[in-house]
Amino acid sequence: MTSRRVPLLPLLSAVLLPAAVAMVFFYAPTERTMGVVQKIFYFHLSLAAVAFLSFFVACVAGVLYLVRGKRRWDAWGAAGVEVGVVFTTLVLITGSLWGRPIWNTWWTWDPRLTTSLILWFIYTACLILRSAVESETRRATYAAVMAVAGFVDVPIVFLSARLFRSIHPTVIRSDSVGLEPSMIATLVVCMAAMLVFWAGLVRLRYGLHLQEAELGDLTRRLGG
Amino acid sequence: MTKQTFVVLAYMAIWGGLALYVAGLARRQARVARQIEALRERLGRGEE
Repeated sequence: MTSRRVPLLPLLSAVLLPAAVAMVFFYAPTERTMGVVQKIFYFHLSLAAVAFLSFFVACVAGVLYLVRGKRRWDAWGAAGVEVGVVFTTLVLITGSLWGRPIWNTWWTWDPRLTTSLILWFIYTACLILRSAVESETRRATYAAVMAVAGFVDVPIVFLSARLFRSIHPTVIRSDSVGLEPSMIATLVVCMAAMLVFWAGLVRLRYGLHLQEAELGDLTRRLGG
Repeated sequence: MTKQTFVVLAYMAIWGGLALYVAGLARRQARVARQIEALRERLGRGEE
């Protein structure tokens, strides 16, 4: 991507994200039981959805790296893992801030929360692994294997509130969505806004990874 | 704390966290670009 091209994703994000926040506070009605705290949910769910998408990107990129061994697949994998960890961290924080007034606790070892925390640990470990291995090929191979293996936890997180006894609410069920039409519209806009922002972030991180790899190549050329 | 406080804290965490991450990425990118430029110059001088 050259610098002359219109930065479509940042521009779209700059329009969609404020629109989404405005819809949350001025369009969506206040939920009867939870009150204003329910307004955390719109971005909590959007963040979780794009975090899963990040790990999916990392998993696919990991498989492609292991098959083809190209640097660009490692870059997509690194971008997916890092952005996914950032979004999962925010999911855990916002979930805790929702849980305190609703469940009267910051944290509980509920299946959804526990599996989400495990997911965060798996991909944080993947980030640590990336910074610990010196050789580029070995680092990329280990990280790819970990990204692929770690993805096993994503469907477990998604299904945990349905398969196990959980106190975590399941808004989107197989037969219905437990929301008012105006709440669904707000949720859709929030998810679209977060998806566009996420795409911009992953693209940015991918570019940075390639630049860092180029820097490594140049350093080696000068050193050797 | 009131319910409103939790909402404010959650939104501060989301936008503060994302803003910090984007700013960090931009700073890293600028630093790496500067280093690449400097190394290319050194390589160019070496080849001359």
